[in-house]
Amino acid sequence: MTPPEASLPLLVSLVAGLSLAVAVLATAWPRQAHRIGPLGALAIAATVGWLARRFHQAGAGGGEAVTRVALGGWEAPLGLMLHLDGFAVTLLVLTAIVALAASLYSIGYIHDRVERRQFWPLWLWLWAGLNLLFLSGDAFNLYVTLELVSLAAVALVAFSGTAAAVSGAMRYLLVNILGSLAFLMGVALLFGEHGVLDLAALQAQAGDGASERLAAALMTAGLMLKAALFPLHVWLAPAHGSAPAPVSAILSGLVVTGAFYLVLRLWLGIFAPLATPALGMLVGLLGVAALVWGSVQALRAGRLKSIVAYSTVAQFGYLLVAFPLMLIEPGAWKVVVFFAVAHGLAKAAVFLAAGTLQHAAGHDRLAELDDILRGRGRSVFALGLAGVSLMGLPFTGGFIAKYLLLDAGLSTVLAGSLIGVLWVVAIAGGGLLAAAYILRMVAPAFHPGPQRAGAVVSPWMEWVPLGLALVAALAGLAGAVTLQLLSLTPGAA
Amino acid sequence: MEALAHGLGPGTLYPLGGALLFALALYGLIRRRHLVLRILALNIMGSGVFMVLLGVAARGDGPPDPVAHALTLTGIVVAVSATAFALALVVQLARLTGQAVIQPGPPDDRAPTGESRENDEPDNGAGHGNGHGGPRP
Repeated sequence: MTPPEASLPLLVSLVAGLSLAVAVLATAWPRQAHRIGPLGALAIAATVGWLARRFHQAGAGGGEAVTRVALGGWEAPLGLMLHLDGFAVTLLVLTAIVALAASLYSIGYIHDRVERRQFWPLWLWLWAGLNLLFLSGDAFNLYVTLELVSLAAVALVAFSGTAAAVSGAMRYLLVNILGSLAFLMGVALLFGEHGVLDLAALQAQAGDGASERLAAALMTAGLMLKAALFPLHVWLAPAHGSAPAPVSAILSGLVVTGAFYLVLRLWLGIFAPLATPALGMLVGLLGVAALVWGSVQALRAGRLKSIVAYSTVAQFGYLLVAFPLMLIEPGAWKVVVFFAVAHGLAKAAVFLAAGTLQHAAGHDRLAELDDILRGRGRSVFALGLAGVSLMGLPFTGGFIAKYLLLDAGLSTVLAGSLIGVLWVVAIAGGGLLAAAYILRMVAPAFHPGPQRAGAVVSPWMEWVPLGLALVAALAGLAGAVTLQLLSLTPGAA
Repeated sequence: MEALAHGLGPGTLYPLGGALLFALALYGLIRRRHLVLRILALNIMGSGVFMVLLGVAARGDGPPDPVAHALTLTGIVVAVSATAFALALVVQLARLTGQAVIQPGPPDDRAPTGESRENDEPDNGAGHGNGHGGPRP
C-alpha cells in the first residue's frame, strides 16, 4: 500500500487544474454555464476534500505532508512552484465549503438567462484564482493570482449594473489595482535584493535590510487595502453592500480572507525578522480602532447588508488585535487563522440569509423589514445562528476562536503588560458590540405584529444559508483538527 | 547631467526614476477625481514598477536578467487588461450617472436609520439622478 503523501502532488495539480478547467469551460460555453457551474463546484469541492483528507492522513502518519510541486518539471529558480502546507489546506477547505454553498445558493438566486451566462464564468474564475492564491509558492505568481481574484471580484460587484453597484465596483477596482501595484513594487524590490521569487528561497535569505523593510511596507500596505484592514477599509461597505447576495458572501467570507492569508503568510515567513514589539503594538491598536469603528457603523447603518458589511471591518479588527500576541507567543497565529475560518463561514451564512430576506422583501431597509422578519422564520434563524457564532457564544466556531484568543491573551495579562489588558477588553467588548448589531437584525422578528412572507423564494435560498449557518455554528467542533492541520506548516511553530 | 546619468548607471538610475514615477502617480491618484485621470495615474504607477524591474535586470555584470524582463512583460499584459476593464466601467458609470467620478460615500450614508424611503432605494441610484456632488440631504 502506498503512503498517503504519495498522492499529494497529483492532487495539488488536480485542484489547480480542475478549478482552471471548469472556469475556462464555463467561459467558452456560456449557454451551458449554469450547468457547468454547479457540477464543477461539486467536483472542485470534492477534490479539495479528498486532498485535505490525504493531507491529514499523511500528517497524522508522520509522513512528509508538506508538498511542493514543480509544474512541468521546472524546478524553483526558473519554474513556478505550487506549495501545499497546513495553512493552505485550511484555507482551501474554507473556500470549498463557502464556495459550494454560494454556488448552490446561486442556482436559486440567478435565474435570468443573460445573467447566469455572465455570473457563472466570473464566479468560477474568482474561485480558481483563490485556489491558486492559496497554492502559490512564488511571489510573482501571487501577484498574478491576486489580480485574477480582484478583476473577477470587481466584475461581480458591478454585476447588477445599477449606478450604486458600478460606482462601488469602480472604487473597489481602483483600490485593488493600487494594492496590486504596491504589492508588485515590493516583489520587484525583493527580486532586486535576492534575485529569486520562490517564497521558500526568499525565506531562506530573509534579512532586515533597507529594501526588505521597504518591500514589507509596500506589500503589507497593498494587502491591507485589499483585506480592508483598518484604516484602509472605506471601500468595503459600498462594494460588499451593493453586490448580489452570493457575491457579498464570497467577498466578505473569502476574498478578504485571501488577502489576509497573504499578509499572515508573508509576516510568518519572509518578513519575520522585521517584526518588532513596537510594530505589533501599533497593529494591535489599529485592530482595536477597527473593532470600535466597524461596530459603531454597523449599529448606525440602516440597511441589512450594510450592517453585515461593516461587521466585516469590525471582525477583521480581531485579526489585527492578535498581531502583538503572535510576537509574544509564536503559536498564536494558528488561533488567528481559526478565527478567520470561523468568521468566513459565519459571515457568508449571514450574507446569504440577508440576501434571502432582501429578495423576499424587495429591499433591505431594516426599519421596514419587521413583517418579513416575522414571516421568514427559517432565514432569520439562519441569520441568528451564524450571528451567534460571530458574537462568540459557547460551542460555536466563533466561541472556540475567541476563547483561544482570550486564553492566549490572559497569559500576557499575568505578565502584567498594558497590551494584555487592552487585549482582553477588546475581545470581550467586541463580542458585546457584535451581539448588539446582530440583535438589531434579529430582534424585530420577536415583536408581535403582522407577518408577511413576501416574494416567492427558491428552496435553495432558504435552506443553503441555514446549512452554512449550521456548519459555522458547529465549526467549534473542528477546532482540534484545524489546529492539527495548521501545525503542519513549515517555519511556523 | 549626462555625466551624472552615466555615473549612476542604469542599475541605480532606473529604480530611482521608477520610484519617482510611482510616488508622483500615487499623488495624482489621490488628488484627481476624474476617473480617466485616476486610471492614467495607475498606469503611470505601473510604469514606475516596470522601470524598477528593468533597473533590477540591468544590475551586475553580463547580459541583462531575462527573468525580470519576463516579469515586466507579464505585468504589462495584466496592466493592459485591468485598464481596459477599468475604462469599460467608467463608460458604464458615465452612462448611468452622466459623470465620470465616483459618488462620494456609501449609498447607505444618506439615511443612517431614518424613514426616508425615496432617498434610500439601494438599487436605483441612477433613477433619481443624484449623480454628482453630495447626495446627502
